Amino acid sequence: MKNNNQLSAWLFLLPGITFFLLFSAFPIFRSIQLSFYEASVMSQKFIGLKNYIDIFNSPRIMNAFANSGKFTLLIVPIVTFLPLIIAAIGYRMHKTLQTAIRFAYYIPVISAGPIVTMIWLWLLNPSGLINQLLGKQIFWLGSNPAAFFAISMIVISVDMGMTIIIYSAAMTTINTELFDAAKIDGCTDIQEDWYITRPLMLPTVGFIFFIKIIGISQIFLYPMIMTGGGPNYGTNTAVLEIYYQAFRYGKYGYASAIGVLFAIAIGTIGVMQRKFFKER
Amino acid sequence: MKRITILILLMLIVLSACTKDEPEITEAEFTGTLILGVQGGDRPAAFNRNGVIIPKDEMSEELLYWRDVILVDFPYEVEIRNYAADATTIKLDADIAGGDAPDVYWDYLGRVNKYANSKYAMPINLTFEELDDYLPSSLAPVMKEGELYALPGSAWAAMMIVNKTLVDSVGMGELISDVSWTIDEFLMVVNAVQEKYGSEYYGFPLFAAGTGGDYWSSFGWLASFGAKLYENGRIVINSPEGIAALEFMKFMSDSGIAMPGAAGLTYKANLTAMSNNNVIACSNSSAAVKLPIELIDGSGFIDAVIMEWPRAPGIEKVPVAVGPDAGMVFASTKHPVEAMELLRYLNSTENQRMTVSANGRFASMKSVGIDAVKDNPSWTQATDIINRNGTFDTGVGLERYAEVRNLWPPVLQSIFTGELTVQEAVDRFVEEGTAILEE
Repeated sequence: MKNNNQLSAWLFLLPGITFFLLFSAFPIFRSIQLSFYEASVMSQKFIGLKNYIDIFNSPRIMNAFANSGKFTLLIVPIVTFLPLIIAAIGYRMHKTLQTAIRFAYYIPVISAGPIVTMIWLWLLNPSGLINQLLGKQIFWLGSNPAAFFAISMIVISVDMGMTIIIYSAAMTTINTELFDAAKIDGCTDIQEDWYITRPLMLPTVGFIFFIKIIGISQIFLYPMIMTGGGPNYGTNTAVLEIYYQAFRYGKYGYASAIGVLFAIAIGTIGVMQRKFFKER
Repeated sequence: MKRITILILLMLIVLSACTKDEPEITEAEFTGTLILGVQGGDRPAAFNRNGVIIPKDEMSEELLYWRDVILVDFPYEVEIRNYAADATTIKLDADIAGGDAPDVYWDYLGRVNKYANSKYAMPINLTFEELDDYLPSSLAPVMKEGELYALPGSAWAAMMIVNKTLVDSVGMGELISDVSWTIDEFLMVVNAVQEKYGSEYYGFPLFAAGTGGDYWSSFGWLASFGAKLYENGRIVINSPEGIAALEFMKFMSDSGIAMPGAAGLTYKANLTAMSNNNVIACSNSSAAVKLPIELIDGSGFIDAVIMEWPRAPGIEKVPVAVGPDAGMVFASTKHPVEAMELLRYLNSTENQRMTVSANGRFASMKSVGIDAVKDNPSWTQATDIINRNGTFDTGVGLERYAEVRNLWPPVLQSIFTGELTVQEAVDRFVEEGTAILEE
């Protein structure tokens, strides 16, 4: 009977394990292997650590890593904490208004990336709406650091919707008796947020912070479409560079080495961050 | 002995009379399918088989350029494989690695040249007459160690297009009555236009967002100062002429002669600049001025003419950047005879004449003649300019052309944004580009 159970368990797991081995484990292993090769589509030659040495000697790649870091540092705190504030404000609103706010923030999430990009390109045009409102001519995509901030602005606007939904859902799990008791004790809304909502939301915030670091550090789509990593590599990121090295220059080994280093960097940050939240 | 000889002769006569005729050797009918790799394999036809342009609102997905115009007279079945191009050939690389290369590849020479060599391509044997029909300058980039690995097709040229209506309106039409002018004359016109119409009128739309075209557009200015990008396969932009040319482009960007925000402007900005009627000149092919240019607000048309890129002091000739198409047969083809037949068909005199006539391109073969385009004044002017000034070495003949080309937009961006000095930007380009070429 026990053996039968084990067999059926393995049978149920088999599709998942097969998919994992084929589409996750194998590519990871292959990438690590390729990183020690000078590899194009048509040839492979073992070169040891040369790819890694070249990466550390390349100002362009180092700049791409730095840009990924800068995007992460700027965007992650905003897309982690601003949605929390919006969700907390929305939580006290009338149900209809709450839904309307969530919907408004969720529109960019369900819109196709290229469509969002087209709208932003129109807004960020030198003679576009944003410059007209500011009364200035800023070359949002044609100068640094304006391009960096423009891309960040777009990512923030697109990224917040889903987080607001997650926070709102998490808030509904807080026992409302706690708020009732606080009200009886004469707490203000801000005190309720600080002493009840904040500590009870901390695990969710920690989770969001963790996945945002992983997600934002891999920023690719908007720099790719809007600036191509320019001007002068000002919005070039590590993942964009992996794409360029692999698919523009055909250097799969070099691109894999960048990918491996990037994964190590993200993994290290992830471990540190998990440890930090666990201690809390 | 005599009898024996007569007997043998008789036997031979009888034998030959009795022998059936050898069946006539005929070439077996080819029933397979050839694979043709092209860029834009699914694009609608912009002109018909007679080279007559199809108006934009009549273009249809039902009538495709490659299937219904170019290949329509070819006798064998051809599967068209689309290799969308963004300065890469990675999809073709993948097909080659998977043992599934097309039989014939036809594209812009910058991409074809990566494969037009003994490693991938079948050598092409032309008859003496065929060889003689090609312009020697068109054959040079496709010859490798004395062998021909690709056939050069027609080419387009990055000309300077000048807004004649605008220049005439400030009373300076005289300066562009001849196709040749100097940088000082160009600046005089800019000055006059900006004085009359204000600072939102520009001399030229520099653009460097890396969307294509910026590479070509900038070459005109390099040539204006006598600079070269490549010489004998080496990058030589780090010369006094190269620095002077890029300094001048920086000056145009900083002083309001060029449209502002050049580092972020795209090829589209360059194309629409003329129809906004607020720029004096832009970069485009000679076909752009075949007809008067309609203004974007629908208020009318402007006349535009082709000019040489303006000459800096001491410069006699301003070579023109020329971008040819080319075709090759992959050595892996299972149908070498038919594939070669397809390549010859694609580059036939008739096909070239059609593209030359419709697009104002420049033929690589003498037999194309000028009948199809002799009534096109812009083509005639452009041809005169090219014949007089020669062509600019864009590096299109190099196997690593596409990779080095990708390094160029950041050079212009760093200069226009002021993040690097011209010398620093050039040094970086030379270092990175040379590293690629020497790999």
